[in-house]
Amino acid sequence: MRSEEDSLAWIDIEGESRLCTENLSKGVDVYGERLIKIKGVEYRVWDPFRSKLAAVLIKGLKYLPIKFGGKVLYLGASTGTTASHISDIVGSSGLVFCVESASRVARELIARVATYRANIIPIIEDARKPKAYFSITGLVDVVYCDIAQPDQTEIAMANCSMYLKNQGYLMLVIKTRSIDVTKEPKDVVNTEVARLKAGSFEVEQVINLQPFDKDHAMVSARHHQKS
Amino acid sequence: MSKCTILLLEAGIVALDDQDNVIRSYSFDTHMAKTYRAIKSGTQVDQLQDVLEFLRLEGFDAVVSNDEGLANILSKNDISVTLMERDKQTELQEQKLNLMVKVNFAKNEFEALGLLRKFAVDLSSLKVGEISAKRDYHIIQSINAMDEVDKIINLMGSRLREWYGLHFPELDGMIQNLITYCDTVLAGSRDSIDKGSLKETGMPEDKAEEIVYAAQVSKGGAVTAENVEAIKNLAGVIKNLNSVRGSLTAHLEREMDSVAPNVKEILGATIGARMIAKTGGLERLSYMAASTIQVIGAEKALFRALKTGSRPPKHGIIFQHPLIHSAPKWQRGKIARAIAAKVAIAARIDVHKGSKDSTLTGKLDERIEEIRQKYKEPVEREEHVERPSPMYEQRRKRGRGNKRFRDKRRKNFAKRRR
Repeated sequence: MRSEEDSLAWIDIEGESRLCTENLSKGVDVYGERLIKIKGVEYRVWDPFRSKLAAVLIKGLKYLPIKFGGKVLYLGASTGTTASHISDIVGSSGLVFCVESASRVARELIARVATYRANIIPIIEDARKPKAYFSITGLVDVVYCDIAQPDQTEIAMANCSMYLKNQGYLMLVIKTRSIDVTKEPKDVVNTEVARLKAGSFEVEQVINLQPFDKDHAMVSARHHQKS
Repeated sequence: MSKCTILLLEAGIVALDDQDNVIRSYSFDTHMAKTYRAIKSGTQVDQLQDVLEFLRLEGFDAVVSNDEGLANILSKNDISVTLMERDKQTELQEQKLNLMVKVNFAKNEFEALGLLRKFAVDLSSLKVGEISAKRDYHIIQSINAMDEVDKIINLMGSRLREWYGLHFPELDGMIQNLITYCDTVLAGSRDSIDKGSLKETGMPEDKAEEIVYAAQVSKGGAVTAENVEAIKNLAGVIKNLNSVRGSLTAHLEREMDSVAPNVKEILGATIGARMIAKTGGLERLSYMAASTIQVIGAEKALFRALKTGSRPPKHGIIFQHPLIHSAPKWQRGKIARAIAAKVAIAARIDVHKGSKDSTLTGKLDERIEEIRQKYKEPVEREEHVERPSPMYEQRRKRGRGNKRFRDKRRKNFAKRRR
């Protein structure tokens, strides 16, 4: 019986402790990452420079709401690098709804990730129009948002109010340079956090992604659905 | 009051009564993705015939639907319908798998989920395929290919001249045209060049004579037969690339004519394609203001002007248009503005109507002639006052050494202050 402890692991590779996820599609790598077998279980090495979720785990995220069997709505899935690791973590009984509007990268998402993983559901739609999403069932446990738009926080919040369960989590990547390139990154982060707080989110943690990403922060917030 | 809830699901249409019991269901057996999508965009499809008949016959007092597209279709068929409330939508969301099993779209929830997943992959692939087929994306690739081939030809051309120049250095200065140079190289080493073979390449007689003479008194070194072959190979490849470039140009002309005839009419195929490539698509171009189109390609100068208040650029890549670069300097800005305005209109016509509008160029020519007449003499340029745009004014107020200050702040963003 696979418990949630197994799907995410720290493995000693060549003297360094590296973050890894248990591979849901055995033998297949998604983006050229290293596959490693320990005691008969195959893991994929998770690169924090390529995936912000890995970066945030390494920088000390206190609580990861993405769990085995969970449902995640991923806005801005791109080629599916991070989405594939989320797919590993939630396992075959979980679901990852991947929203991506750019066809050029969505092509890779479908061909290299969705085809090999039954828990990935690709949705080629603009994240600004959550009503237009197809194939979504039920409410999700986590909304993970990584999109480069000036109104990214509003988009995330609109998606949460439609698809995130009460007490569910929003993990929002704040790309300060996409929001306003002329302002100080710290100020941008503060403005966005304030926006979340005003929108019935309880902000639990804000993490700066340096040195893995420049001028990026990730916010973990709990959603209190208005009754 | 009899109420019917008519739901659009990925796998088909379901009708519920006011107790939320299923009264009817219609499955989209084949072509699920296409049908669903069509209905969502408000297009009436054959699969809906049964649904419409059912609703008309039963004559419900109130009809509610979860989807706007479906609602529109129903209204057009004189069935009054309202949209489902948000809470009900969420409820439906949660019950979707269950519902799908109830109406036999799937045997169990696991299968239902599989169906939804397959649907998602199909519809997503459909969308991706459609976008990649868009013609203006091919135009962007064509013009980029053409520019790259150009760069390669130039690069190899320099190499050829240097290499062959070891043997016949004087030739480099005598022939400017690269293709003629290649042809001359292909004629062989210095000793095998004769007037006849040179004239075959289209060279005028006196030039051919000059070259033959220069070959005889050349100060270059001897060259082995093997090296001559290698050099000839290079020359051959350059000629091939040149013909590829030619076919790309012709291809671009045809494609532009078909996809963006009005833009082509005003800017020509090459510059028009470059502009589409720069903006990322014909539709994107059509959304832009004429003033933006005027300076596309001069972003560095534009933002510098906005930030520091220095003189703004008068033209970007639109400068490549002969009407602009061959005009006297003081007229260029005005002509650039006039052309950009017409390009904006042309792009919009191309996106929406697609057919050529011949009145555009007529008006443009008139305006340009007007500019030529009115400003025949050079105009005195006013002293430019440095005034940054309001958006950037606040940054300036921080004072001198602004950039250094900003960079330092950013560097310390990650560090914890004690």
